[in-house]
Amino acid sequence: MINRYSKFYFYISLIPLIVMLALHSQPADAYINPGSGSDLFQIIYSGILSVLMFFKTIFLKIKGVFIKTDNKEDKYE
Amino acid sequence: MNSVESSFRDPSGYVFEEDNEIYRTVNYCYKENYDFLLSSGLCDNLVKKGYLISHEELEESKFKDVYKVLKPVKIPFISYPYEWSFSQLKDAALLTLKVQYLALKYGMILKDASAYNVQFLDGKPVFIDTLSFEIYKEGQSWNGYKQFCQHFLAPLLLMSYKDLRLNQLLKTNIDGIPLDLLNSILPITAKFVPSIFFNVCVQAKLQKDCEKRDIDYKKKSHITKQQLVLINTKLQDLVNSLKFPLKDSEWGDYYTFTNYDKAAFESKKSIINSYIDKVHPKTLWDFGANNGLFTRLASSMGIESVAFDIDPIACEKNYNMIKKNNEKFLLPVLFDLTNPSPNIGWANKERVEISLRQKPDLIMGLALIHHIAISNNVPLESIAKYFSALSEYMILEFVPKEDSQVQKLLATREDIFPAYNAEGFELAFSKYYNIVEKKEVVNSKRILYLLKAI
Repeated sequence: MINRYSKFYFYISLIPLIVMLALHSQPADAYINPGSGSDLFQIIYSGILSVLMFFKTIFLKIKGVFIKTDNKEDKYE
Repeated sequence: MNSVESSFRDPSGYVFEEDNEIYRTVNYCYKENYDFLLSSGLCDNLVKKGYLISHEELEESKFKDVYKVLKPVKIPFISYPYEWSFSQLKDAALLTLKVQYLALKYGMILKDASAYNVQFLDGKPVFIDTLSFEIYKEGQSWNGYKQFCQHFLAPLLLMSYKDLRLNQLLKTNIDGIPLDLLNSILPITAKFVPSIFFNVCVQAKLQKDCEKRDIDYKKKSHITKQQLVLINTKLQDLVNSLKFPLKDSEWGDYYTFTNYDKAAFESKKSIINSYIDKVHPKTLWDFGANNGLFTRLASSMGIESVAFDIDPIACEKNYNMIKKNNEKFLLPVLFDLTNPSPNIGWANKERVEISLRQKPDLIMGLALIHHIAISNNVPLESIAKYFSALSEYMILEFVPKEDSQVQKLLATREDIFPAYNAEGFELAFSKYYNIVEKKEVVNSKRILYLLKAI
């Protein structure tokens, strides 16, 4: 979901990108070539998303104090 | 036993065909993963949700060198990603991500993310490769990530942001559209979306850089399972956000059947129904099916039908109708009859032409022949030869020159088709077909033929 909050976090999260670019991937034990670039990308991207999620979770927790939300079915399943 | 030619990449097992049934072997090297797939409950859950094709294990097998032999439900017609409409490809992409999401929940992971692992059954996408799952190892990344981006994300982004027809790049790139190519075609406006910027621009750049540099693969990196889940959910959000490039108002009335009055339409329907009843087919292909209006005459009778059309918008409409009405027995396929899907891949046998995938009991070509004969200058005899090799029976509508649709085609070009008339048509087709029946559509000069190949 692309909203104004996630865009804000997106720019903040560019900082760890530079740090993580130095990382390398683990050996590929696969019958298809996973591509070392894509492997490295997942490490960087997941790092950025984790930072975003950290802020989002805090935001949602604060929001949850004021607005009660129902437990919804997992839409990703 | 015929080994399926596309089934050679994965050492975990292979697919073969015997007595018109499909079987999949599970090799001993995949035993641990297969047992876990079943014992963890993942397989049952995926099948229950309709995500994974169900199968039965053969109790006795003549193969002694394999762990198990599975007999999955047979897919009536195998279609390929470059033959799918935008929403078909989008639904197939979402299915792959949902399967990966659930697999992670159960301690497994997809080892690949090929679009060819998805087929359509009863109007819905279904994952067909039971051997695509492996036990998740803490810290591992998703080996299928690059493949997912190339097979699904790239064509979807190009179709959504640039041009619907760009999914045809999958024909020339059998392992998906390379991200550097995607990056060079994708409009800059798309790249302002953060998730697209990362998945396309950053990933393409890293792929290029890693090709040049000598990466030390021995160094350990670590992605947690939560992070893999996070990547998966963000990919699902991105795919979900991609829209068909035309607004409803622009393509809602894209097709109108102005060439028919109600009586002609009912007459045509009734003749087709009577021909279908005569042939009593189990499988049917409809060429130039448009949005599947007449194909539904067959599919509503439980006949496994494929609706081929060259127009991605018509295929999209057809698929959306199937989804909306929960229709079964009907599959829309994007297909150019004047340049059919070729044999591609290793030894030209991995992905094959339609005639090698199925021999239908009946084919239909309604309001089609003038497009092939006049727009594409294909001789009538050559059309007859091609169709007669595909199926024993054919329902064909001859559209004469006086018809307004043919007049439209001839309006901008010289009429070099003196033999294009009912007599010329019958003469040309008589070399390959016997006419079983012919009937005129009321209030029209069109003739519907039921033909039987000689």
